[in-house]
Amino acid sequence: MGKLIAILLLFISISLDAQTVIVGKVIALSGEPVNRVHIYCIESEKGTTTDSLGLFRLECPIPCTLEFSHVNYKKETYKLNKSDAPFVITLRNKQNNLKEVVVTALPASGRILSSIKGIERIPAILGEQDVLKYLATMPGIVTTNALNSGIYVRGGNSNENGFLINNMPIAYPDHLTGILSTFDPYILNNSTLFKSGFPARYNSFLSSYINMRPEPGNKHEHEGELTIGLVSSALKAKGPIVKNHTSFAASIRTSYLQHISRLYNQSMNDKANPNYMPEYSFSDITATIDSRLSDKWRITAFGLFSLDHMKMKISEHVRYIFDWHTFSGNVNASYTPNVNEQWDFQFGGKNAYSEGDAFGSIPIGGGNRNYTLLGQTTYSRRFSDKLNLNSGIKFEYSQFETANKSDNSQNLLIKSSDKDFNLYELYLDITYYLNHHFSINAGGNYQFYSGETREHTFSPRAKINYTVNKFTIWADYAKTVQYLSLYPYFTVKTPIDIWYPLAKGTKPAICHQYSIGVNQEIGQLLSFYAGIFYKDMHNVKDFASDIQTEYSALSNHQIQGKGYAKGLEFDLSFNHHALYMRANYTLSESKRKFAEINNGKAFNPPYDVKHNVVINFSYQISPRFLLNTLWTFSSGVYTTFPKGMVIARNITEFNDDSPILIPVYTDRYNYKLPNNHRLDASLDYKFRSKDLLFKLSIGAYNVYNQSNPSFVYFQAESTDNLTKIIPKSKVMLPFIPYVSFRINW
Amino acid sequence: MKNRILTLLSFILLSCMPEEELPMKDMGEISGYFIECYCKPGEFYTLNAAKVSPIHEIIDLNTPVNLDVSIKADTIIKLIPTFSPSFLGNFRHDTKFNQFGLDSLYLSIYTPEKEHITAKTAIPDHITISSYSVSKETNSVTISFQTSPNPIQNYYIYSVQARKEGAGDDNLLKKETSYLDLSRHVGGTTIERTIKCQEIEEAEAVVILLLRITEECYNYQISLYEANSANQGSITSPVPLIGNIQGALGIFTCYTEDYKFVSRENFQ
Repeated sequence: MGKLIAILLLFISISLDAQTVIVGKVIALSGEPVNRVHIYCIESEKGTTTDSLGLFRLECPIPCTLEFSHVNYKKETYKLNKSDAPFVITLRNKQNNLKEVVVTALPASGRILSSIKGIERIPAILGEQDVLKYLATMPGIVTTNALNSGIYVRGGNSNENGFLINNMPIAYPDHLTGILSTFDPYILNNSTLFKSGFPARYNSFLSSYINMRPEPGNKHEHEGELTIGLVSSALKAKGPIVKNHTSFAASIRTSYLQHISRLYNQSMNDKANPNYMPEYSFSDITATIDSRLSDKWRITAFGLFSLDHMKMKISEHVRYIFDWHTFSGNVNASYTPNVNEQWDFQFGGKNAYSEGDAFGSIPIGGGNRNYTLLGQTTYSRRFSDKLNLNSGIKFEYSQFETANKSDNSQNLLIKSSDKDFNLYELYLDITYYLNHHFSINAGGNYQFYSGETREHTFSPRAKINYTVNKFTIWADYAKTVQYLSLYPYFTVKTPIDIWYPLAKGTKPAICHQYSIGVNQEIGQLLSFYAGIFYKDMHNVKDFASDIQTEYSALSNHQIQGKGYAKGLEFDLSFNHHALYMRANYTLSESKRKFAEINNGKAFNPPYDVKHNVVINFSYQISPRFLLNTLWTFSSGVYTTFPKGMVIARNITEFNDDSPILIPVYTDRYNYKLPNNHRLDASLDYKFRSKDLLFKLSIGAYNVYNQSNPSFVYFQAESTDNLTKIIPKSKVMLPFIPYVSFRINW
Repeated sequence: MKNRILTLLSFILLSCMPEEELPMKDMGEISGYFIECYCKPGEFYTLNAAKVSPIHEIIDLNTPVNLDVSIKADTIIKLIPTFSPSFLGNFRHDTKFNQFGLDSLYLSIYTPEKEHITAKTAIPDHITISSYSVSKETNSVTISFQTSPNPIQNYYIYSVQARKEGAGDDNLLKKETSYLDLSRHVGGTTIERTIKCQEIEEAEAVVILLLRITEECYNYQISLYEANSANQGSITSPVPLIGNIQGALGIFTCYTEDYKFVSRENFQ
């Protein structure tokens, strides 16, 4: 029986004259990192080994010949001619019939890997590079609205995605709108998005898991980066704390858009009809430490803190103030007694807090907070060349608080919705290699949830994989469970939305996903992927329509229903010398059904995007110039539009019977918006001066100024006593040019 | 230089919100009646009634409705269609509402389709503005009033109008309104509320209005406000109108009112 192990290498590089620092990752076909692979550069006679995360870092000249060797795998060599493309390399092993090293595209096996090189191949809007914006260009993943920072995976809602660092859940550090970055690739440069065939360790979210691994840092020398953009600036650094032993990487970013807004608002001359700009600011700090205590012990720590503030003034009377912040941190201790075994001991916490005060017509004040403590132990073992095992236990305690300030003058706080839960989890995953071509992965995840309601759940997982030459086909099944739901304050996802655990008498949301995919490599240039999926969802959560008053956040009108999503995905990528192209298409349909919404009829939720096309073109014009373009098309999503119209009396008019036209909303998501499309483009210019590497980026969002609607409203046109209603849309983000500057040392 | 930059910025920002006209679609059938009846002590009984208009059709305010409307107070009062050119007050009776000795009112409507529409409302206690001041310095109006020990009496609307001389919309500079849910205040306390209004600096007079409303009316007013806001270019979630009428959309309610007219010479 042959051993079928795929070793995937993701190279990123930073050009340093003739020497190039290659940072790569070695993982098995199952997606698990391979520890202690020896990598040796023949030309420079330098070598290194991968760590427990499968990562390595090596400085050597380009071109070069790399040797990969491991006690369990056959030694391979690979000629690296250039360093600026993302590689996926399959190495043959002793019994594998693969004849050569294969360079493949990234989307495969229901998971998507991101690398800094891939991220640099798409235009960085406003100079903000982001892991999520890169992932959103992949098949099966869509965004819906420029105001909305959420991503939607295979017809699932944005609150059904789990964000993890080192396999530990984190609080989502949400900034306003979809154009600001959330996760800095300078530190989080190795990310994997799972959209199907989830390993058994992942549960508690229905749609996807985005696991990010922080950069281990540079254990040999210090390096840094300064980024200056139109909206924000960031200072980043990495280097050794104890040389060859302990390293750090850190990034601090702050915005200055609020100062421009303040100046503009102060200069407002038209006090009668003021058009104030929101004063929005954000800051975040990301840091990680990596320490090799010995050959067997390694400790990593990660922390992410984000802070946002927004002040909106509609008039002197009507004002809003919002503050929110998140903190996530975790520590991971890895123990590797031998090459076949690994233990991980992890603990961490996360906290999300938001507070809002609305002054004016409906004075609302309050805040909500949730914090979570987490502990996890995992054990991985390779029993033989055929059999691998991953297992673990996890504990989570979460508390949710919602408070309302009913009266500012008396500061009367009403806190009536404190809720908490404990979650105990046990999982086991086994991968068995039947022969040269077939592998089977099977596992299960057991959870016991104890909150206002108690639930035992078991989520089975299965995956079968067949590989021959450069062709791979796989099929998988995964059941996922979710206990949390998000109460939306507005029609789009915002950072002040409130997380709620299961309400009394409700059941956890469940999703059964079935998926099939194929991947074909053609030489080292071309890669083709196609996938099909079906999701069957039960007990998914939403909230009944209700007025928002001072106390609405306290009355939790959680409702549950069912839904499904199905779709097809295609992805084609081409990578040859200076040219990199990717095109993908997703066809999908998503439906949800609740007895309390639209009289129990199934509806298309506002994230159901039927057609989604992404074309990414990147060309290295010269060593100094890089051109990136990204064209996206997505079908219009459904929004809520009134069905009827009435004339009401305004009782707050003194001695005046002026009628007001009031829309009557009955059904949700009954109006399909027009299709969206836009082109983003950027041109990067790099040059070196002494020890500094400079990068100047100029670009534009929505180059041809397409009017993509952000929301819909109506205007009434009256003649005599006849009134006609005209639907209109507002465009929030038309053509936006930008320039940003980066210095690396 | 600073002004030029700000002018450029404002040009960019204002040009950042273009509008697009969208096609009107057939949003489906909507049927039923919309009824509004606000009973205020000392005023004639009036009621507004109309069919709910489908949004994709042209709305005609003159379309008459044929309903059999009655209100039960101390006696049964039958409201008569007025055929007024305005939709507002198209049913009325020449009797003034006297709340003395009453704690509830009942509405009964029969439609030509023989459907029975009903509603019931409580009658709030009288409300008085205890003190008020209009400040030219801070462009604000502050009032104080006494809440009721009974929580269901503690829903209010507080409104301020900055006006030039004369009546009508043309002389209204600005109106600001606060909807107050003070139902969680236990025991009767004195509450002070301030509304800021920039237009007070140029106003000839300020009208202060305080209404005591029912809980149903409060919820209905908020739903009117939110339905309207959902259409004002905001991202407020639209909600259905939340009324108290069985068999129709709308509200049947009572409210009491106190107001102050403050001319400029009395501003502080």
